[in-house]
Amino acid sequence: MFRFILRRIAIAIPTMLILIIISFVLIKSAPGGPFTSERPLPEQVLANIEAKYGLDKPYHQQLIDYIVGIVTRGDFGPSFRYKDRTVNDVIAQGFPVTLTYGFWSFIVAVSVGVSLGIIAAIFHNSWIDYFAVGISIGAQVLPNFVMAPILVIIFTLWLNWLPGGGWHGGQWQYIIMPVIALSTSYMASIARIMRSSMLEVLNSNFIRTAKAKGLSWRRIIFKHALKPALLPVITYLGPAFVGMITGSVVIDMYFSTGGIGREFVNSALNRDYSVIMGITILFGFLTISFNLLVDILYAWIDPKIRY
Amino acid sequence: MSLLEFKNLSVNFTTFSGTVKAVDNVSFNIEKGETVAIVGESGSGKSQTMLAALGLLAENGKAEGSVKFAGRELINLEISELNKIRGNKISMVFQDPMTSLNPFIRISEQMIEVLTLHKGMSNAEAKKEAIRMLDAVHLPDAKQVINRFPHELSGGMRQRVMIAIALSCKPEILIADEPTTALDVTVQAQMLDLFKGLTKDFGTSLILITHDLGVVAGIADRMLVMYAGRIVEQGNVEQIFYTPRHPYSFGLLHSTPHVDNPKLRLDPIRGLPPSLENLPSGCAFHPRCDFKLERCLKEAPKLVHTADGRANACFYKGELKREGREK
Ligand SMILES: Nc1ncnc2c1ncn2[C@@H]1O[C@H](COP(=O)(O)OP(=O)(O)O)[C@@H](O)[C@H]1O
Ligand SMILES: [Mg+2]
Repeated sequence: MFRFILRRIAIAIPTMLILIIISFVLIKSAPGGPFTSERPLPEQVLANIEAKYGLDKPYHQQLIDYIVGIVTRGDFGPSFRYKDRTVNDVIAQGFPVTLTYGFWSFIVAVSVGVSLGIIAAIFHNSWIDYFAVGISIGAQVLPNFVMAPILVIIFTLWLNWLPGGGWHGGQWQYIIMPVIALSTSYMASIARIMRSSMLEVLNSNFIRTAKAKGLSWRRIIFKHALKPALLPVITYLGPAFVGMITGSVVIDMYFSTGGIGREFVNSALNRDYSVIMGITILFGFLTISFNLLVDILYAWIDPKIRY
Repeated sequence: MSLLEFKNLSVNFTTFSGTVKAVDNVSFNIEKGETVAIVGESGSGKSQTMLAALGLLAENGKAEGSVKFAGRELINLEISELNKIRGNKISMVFQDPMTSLNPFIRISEQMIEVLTLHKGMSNAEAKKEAIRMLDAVHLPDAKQVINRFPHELSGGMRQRVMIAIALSCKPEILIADEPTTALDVTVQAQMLDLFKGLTKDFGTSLILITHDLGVVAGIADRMLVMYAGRIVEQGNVEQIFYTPRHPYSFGLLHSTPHVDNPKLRLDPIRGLPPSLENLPSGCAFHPRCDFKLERCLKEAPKLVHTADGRANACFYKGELKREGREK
């Protein structure tokens, strides 16, 4: 197991490097620069600024400096837009917010989705099942950018129960709607996957054996059927995670939560290269680490997997 | 009172194309300590008869009639009561050892759970007992093997584990559904010896589902012959082997290599078993029968019990024989 993890980390490192290089190349090849504006700056001024940010060096030198900065100091460099802020400052401000509502969204999507799927499978073809399937089909056509305005209309404008946006240090009133908006469609997908894989497992020969042993349904579901039925759900967690990260852009726009999604959009509009790069790399790093976790979880559950 | 009494048991499956009667009004008894074989081509309802008794039918299946264990009705018995019997008083070993064990759980856990559940043993006691059972089914290295996962075991080893689990609570009845078909021939023979020895040691009644008449001859006291969901003949193994009365039993015997007289030509029954959705009129066997009468096309013969302890469901009362079977 330990060697399996090491090997996966060894693969993750070049993946990260490639990610950095590709995003660097893409940004350099995009037309315009952070200091292009309507009124061109005097040549001398522009040269001074570029020298300050190291943009006068050859591209490969810039790239090497950048990578060395990240690896040795965890330093993503200065922002090109905010004179007094570094990329690290920007991330440190927005990331905890995103992490908070992202974490809760993930927990809600997985726990509600898995429970709903199991319940539907246990009561297969009863009204409970139809109800659960109905909910998850309904919820699946409600991605975050549809859910967000619906929630605001209902809970803020009609009922006046919850504030329509803001963060306020992450008080619960401000977390609820972002979490529901972000998690609903993933919750629905997880419920659907869980239900069908649980049904398949419950029809398998080894479950018939478990019944023939006289085991209670509780033990059959939770001891015999849950692990195998969870595997397809676990495979889905990687894509769900990525979807939630990118979904944070939408959430930050609708709810003014001030997470990293907002910084991402702003930096793209402002051509704030170093912030775009920093956030891209952060998202890439999170995705790779998360997928590693998922693989470990999968290997831990399925004894047939050899490391 | 017999140990296990089947009375007018029927099993119906609801499918997209209508209702399928997989078991049709079957009645028979199993006595304490005896070994009864159920034979018949695949699809004749052997497995469903037994699954119905244990409440293990697929979701679209429904059992009607009665199955009584020690006087107690099993059909529609409350699940919590049924669970006290399943795996404890009546155990079942399934056809496919490769898929019948849970691939995600260690053998030890899969063995221990029945003992802790039904016998109230502690985990440590149960593990000791489980190892003893693995020894009893002649599984080498039981102490190591018990800590493995199913995929680390061969088919024969897994079937031994299944048998060990089934016998671990010393059930009164063991149902073995084609326990050897998935195994190679040498393992088959070992398995049968195992069944013979263990049922004798534990005084267990054995219901053996098989389509291998060689197996029946070697192990069973009595046999039931099933065709298209019905019992067509039943009686002692010797009686049926030497003087089959139903043309289907006769046909089965003649399509199996004969131990006493290997010179006999093999003579498979012509045609195929009928589809349950589209059963022939009258006796379901008549399209394949060499002895059919006018009557067989219109009327289904009932199973008639005779004074010699046998039963037969056929209108033809003459001698069953075929010309030119000697090579
Ligand atoms: N879930 C099901 N739905 C519909 N038909 C079924 C189902 N399970 C079994 N059957 C039918 O029941 C018949 C008898 O099956 P079975 O008892 O398993 O035969 P066998 O004698 O080979 O053990 C088969 O023809 C099969 O098509
Ligand atoms: Mg069968």
